[in-house]
Amino acid sequence: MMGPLLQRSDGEPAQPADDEILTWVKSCQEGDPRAWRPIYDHHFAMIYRLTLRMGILERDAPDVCQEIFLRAFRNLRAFRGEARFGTWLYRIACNEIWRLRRKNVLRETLGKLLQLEPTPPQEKPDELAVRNDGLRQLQRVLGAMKPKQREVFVLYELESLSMAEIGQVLQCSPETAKSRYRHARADFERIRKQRELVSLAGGKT
Amino acid sequence: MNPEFQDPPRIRDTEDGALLRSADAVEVPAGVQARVRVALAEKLETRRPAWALRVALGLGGMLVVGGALAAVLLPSEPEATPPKIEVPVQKPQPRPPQEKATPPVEPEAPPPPVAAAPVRRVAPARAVDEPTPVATPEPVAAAPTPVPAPVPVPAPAFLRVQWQGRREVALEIRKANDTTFIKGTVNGVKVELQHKGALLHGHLGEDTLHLVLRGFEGGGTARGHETAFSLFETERGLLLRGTVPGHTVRVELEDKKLSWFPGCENELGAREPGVYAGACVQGRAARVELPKALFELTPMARMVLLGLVLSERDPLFDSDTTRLFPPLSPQR
Repeated sequence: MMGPLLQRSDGEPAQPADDEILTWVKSCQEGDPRAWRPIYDHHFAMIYRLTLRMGILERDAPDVCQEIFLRAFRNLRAFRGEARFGTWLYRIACNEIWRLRRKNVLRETLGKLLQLEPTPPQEKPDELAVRNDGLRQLQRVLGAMKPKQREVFVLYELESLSMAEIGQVLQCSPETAKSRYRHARADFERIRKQRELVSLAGGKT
Repeated sequence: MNPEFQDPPRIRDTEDGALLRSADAVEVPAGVQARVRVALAEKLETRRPAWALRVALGLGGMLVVGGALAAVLLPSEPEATPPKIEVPVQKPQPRPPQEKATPPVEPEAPPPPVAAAPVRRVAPARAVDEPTPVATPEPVAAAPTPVPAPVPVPAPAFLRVQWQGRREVALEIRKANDTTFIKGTVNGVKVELQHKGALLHGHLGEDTLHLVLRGFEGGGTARGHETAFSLFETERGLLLRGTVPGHTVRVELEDKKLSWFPGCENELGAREPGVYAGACVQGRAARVELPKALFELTPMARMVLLGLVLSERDPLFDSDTTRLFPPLSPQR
């Protein structure tokens, strides 16, 4: 179902225009059972990367992505086109990631209260996703940030959303998003410098 | 929003942004997207029956409440006394009365729609060229009282495999609520399985089968042996790989062809939707009928079921009885 706008002359898939995405969404809202496929194909990599950047384990990322798309498609009628579809999807993704975080915290707390056996040590999320040293370092710095700051930082720096879009995703004003980003940026710089110093001193980063 | 509001400069656009630019190296591992898509499609499709069920239950509930209200509010007319059923005591009935009075005790049997509805049995396996017989209801024992007209039972859904000199398969697949019942014979062995959620379990003759099938992976025990399966999405269909007692399994199913290993590496072409026929190894004719009910199972359960009943080693190895459906001994 790849539309003409998606095919470039060199054979590489091009980015579909927002209008084309909206056409798919509209078809989906009208009950076309096949229309969700191009939406999914176009946005999957974006959501997958977001989950890893937000600290989801690589082994859990497919399940989280599935849940995100499931929620999106089941609630597609709620999309009114006031924001870009991608922004709307980011919002669902962020909510789902927060829900998962809360669930994990609750599970850990209950485990401690009931004195259950601790879960076996897992690989750090970010160790699994690494492809090179730079990426490993980045994941470690992001892993040391506070979740809320990491969220706004990832959306702005890595997902390249504007502050207005981040405001839509996080349901806050752009000014608030900018303020959070300023703190996140300072935090990021601080942690990165700390790690660089430790690295220079011969410690394990 | 403040019109003078401007986004701050991004670190990644500065010289210090090399670390952040390395995040672009994150790639989606091969196969993950397709795997999630299939699981997603499964979940999106399974949503429909739940809604349909809710609507049906809601309507049913309204009918019941409405009927009860009507019975209370409307003036009742003198009812005609129904004819009293008298069972002649001295004359033994060919059918035990308790069979009619009590529902089947087998937990896997779906509740009969009407007490007198005929029970269908798994049809015996037929020769390859034999035409499909029309299933006829079992003769009901003559009752002294008028029996209400039997409610037509939906046509049985049989998974049939006929191939020369090899295992005959006739399995009835029937869905009731959220459970699918699979009953019949494979190679003369009675098969009774149930599929519900991620669980496929039941009996193969006197032995048991217990498999947990989740997404694209599944495993468990069959006749006391460990089994494992993996499902892959191909360009035009599905591919299952796995192990059953005694050998490995490979089944490839597409709209237009079906093949499996060991047994029929040659592809059987589709003759009509759900019916595949052709020549297997050594020119042996084979015909496989896949009922619609089979396609209502999850892809994993569907392919595992096919893997269990289709794959068969060459009879040359009959002396080795480590297999799911061992060859029939002369005594059996």
